[in-house]
Amino acid sequence: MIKKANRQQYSQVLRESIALLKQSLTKGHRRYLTASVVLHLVVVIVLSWSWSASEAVKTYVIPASIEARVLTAEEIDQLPYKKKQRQEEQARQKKKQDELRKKKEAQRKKELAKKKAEAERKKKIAKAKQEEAKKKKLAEQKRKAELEAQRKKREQKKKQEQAKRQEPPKPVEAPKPDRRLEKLAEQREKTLREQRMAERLKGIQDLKESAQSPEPVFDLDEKTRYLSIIRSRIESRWFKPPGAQNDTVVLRIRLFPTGELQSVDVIDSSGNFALDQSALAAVNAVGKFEVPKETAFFEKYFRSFQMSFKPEA
Amino acid sequence: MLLFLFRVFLVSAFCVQAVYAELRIEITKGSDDAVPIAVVPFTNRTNLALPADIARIIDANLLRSGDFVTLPTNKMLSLPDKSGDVYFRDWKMLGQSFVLVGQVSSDAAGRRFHVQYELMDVYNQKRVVGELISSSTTGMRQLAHRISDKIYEAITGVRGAFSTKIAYVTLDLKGDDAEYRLQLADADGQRSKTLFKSAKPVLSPSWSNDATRIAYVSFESGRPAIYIQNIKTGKRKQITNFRGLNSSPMWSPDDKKLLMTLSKDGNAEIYSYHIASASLDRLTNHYGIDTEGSWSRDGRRIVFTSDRSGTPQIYEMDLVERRPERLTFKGRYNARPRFSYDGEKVYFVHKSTRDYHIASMNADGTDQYILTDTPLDESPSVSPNGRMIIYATKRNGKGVLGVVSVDGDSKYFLPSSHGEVREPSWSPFLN
Repeated sequence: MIKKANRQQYSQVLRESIALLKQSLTKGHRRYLTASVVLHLVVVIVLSWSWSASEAVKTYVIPASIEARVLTAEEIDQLPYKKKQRQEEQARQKKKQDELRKKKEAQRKKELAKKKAEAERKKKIAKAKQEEAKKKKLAEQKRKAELEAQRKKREQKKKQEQAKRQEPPKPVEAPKPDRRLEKLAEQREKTLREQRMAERLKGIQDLKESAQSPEPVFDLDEKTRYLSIIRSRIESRWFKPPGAQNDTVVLRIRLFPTGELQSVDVIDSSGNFALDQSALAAVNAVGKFEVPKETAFFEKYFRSFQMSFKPEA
Repeated sequence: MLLFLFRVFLVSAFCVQAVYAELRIEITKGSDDAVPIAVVPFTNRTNLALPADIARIIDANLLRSGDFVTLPTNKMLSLPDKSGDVYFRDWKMLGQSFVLVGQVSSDAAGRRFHVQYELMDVYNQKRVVGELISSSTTGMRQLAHRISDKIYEAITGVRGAFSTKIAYVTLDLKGDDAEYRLQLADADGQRSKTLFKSAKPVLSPSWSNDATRIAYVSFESGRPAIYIQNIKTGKRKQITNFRGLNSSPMWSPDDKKLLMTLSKDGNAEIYSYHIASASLDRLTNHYGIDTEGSWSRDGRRIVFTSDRSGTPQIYEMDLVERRPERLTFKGRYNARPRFSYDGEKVYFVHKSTRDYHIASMNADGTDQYILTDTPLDESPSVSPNGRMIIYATKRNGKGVLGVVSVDGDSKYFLPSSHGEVREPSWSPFLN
């Protein structure tokens, strides 16, 4: 009876949980679920990527499982040659212990290796972060300068006010507002980081679906940065033919993810052979372009793009 | 394996999404530097000493144009003489955009030379142009100029003007005696020869558009008169001998008329002189001095100098309406205008605070700027490809010829074998 009741209870719980799962898959919750799944995928990918990029996947030899059979006290008692068996048992136990020790040792080694790998991975992540930080540094500095200017302005205002009140001038309390500003900057950076993360996620989801969210800031800024680098590299290698004013040639450029030139073709000739050739030569002369490391970002803008050359006097 | 599958899945997911409009980067600015080109010395496969170093002449031509910078021979890693021996990687390393290679061979008798040249595009890794041409032993310089033209055109898209000619006047003073010569030379100033020699001044040579004749002013009779001389035959013919001024002859685009300044009616005016019928058409009518007329290429308009405003300024006039319009307002001296070959620009002499310079403006008078920085520049004449302007100037107190690119970037001076050099005129294309 009890067993039956239990079973009923179990099946009811199962049904309920299935219903819950179904419910969670309905409109309102599906997005979170997919988001979490995607997030997991991304985490897995990011982790595995940084790993595999640096070293071959290591395989660890796991010792063969022990074939020790444990006897119960009853069994032992039932045996005719107890003594011998006990001796054997002892020997077996010793062997088992040995093996256990060996196994432990192996496991310890394995863990050590794992830790080492983990440390390396962390180091790499830190390095990547450092690089990212470097990138951000410029923007950061600018922002800081702005904040600094604002701070100075405020201080000046404060001073002026103080002067108005004819109070004895207090020494400027620099560290206090500084810390606050630092905190503010930190917070901003944090939100920025979060935003970037969110945008990277969005790159994986469909961007068009989230119509209410504006074009990702990260993409735009980074895009402009890469574009300006590409533009300046081309400009330094392009020798404008003197007789080619008001003509335009359009090229299609395809790049490998490393930034190396895959192909360049004239898709709209200027009709001026010299201009067409000069544009091709400029692209070939650059040869390798700086492109974003993020695959989605690269694929979106820089896998294949067009470049128009229009000489201006 | 699992990770790999994940990656494949994700990458393909990205690919599906990459359906955005393709990015387009617009490039309008280029390098301000000249195009780097390596002119490799041509191999001499004859057993004779060559009358001219072709590669060196080409090198000098391209360098002088200001549109190229050439690589010194001692910096070259190898000296190939045919396209198959050109290792693009090496030249890329040297930062060269183009490499010119070639060789010279001769016929059995050694009377004719065969020159084979090939121009290689280093970054596009291909041959741009190549030819096998022959010449007599005396035609080597000309051949080098012709190759220069081909290379210039292949790379810039503009016809080269290296095998064109210049005419100019020299003055040698020997004590009290003066000797004026009308000289003809290659565009690089070499191979000059005398067309006409006189103890009296020679002025204003002007090329006919078929490049067979030169019109100029000579004072040989004691008074200025306009002459036409055939370049091939050397035959001269006096065209005008009016009372007063006879100056500034300039051929119409169809070579049927000459624009000239005459003061036969009391005051310097511009006339159009029909050569075949010897008839005159007075174009200007003002009590100020009108002179130095220049035809536009379509023959419909002229630009000229007039001091009707009180100072010499440049005017433009439609030959049908004949209502002069002033183009220059900056400065107290703007004179000697010349249309560019495409008719869009006018080059002229402008006096800044102290010095006279060659300047450029649009045909409607906008966008005026100074091209030269020498102090006493005069008589601008445009090369037939429209890229360069030759002018007379003073250097170390001596009259020499200068050349400046129409954008003012490149300048050089021509060597002179005679004392004072002045009044240059650049020929049209010769073939």
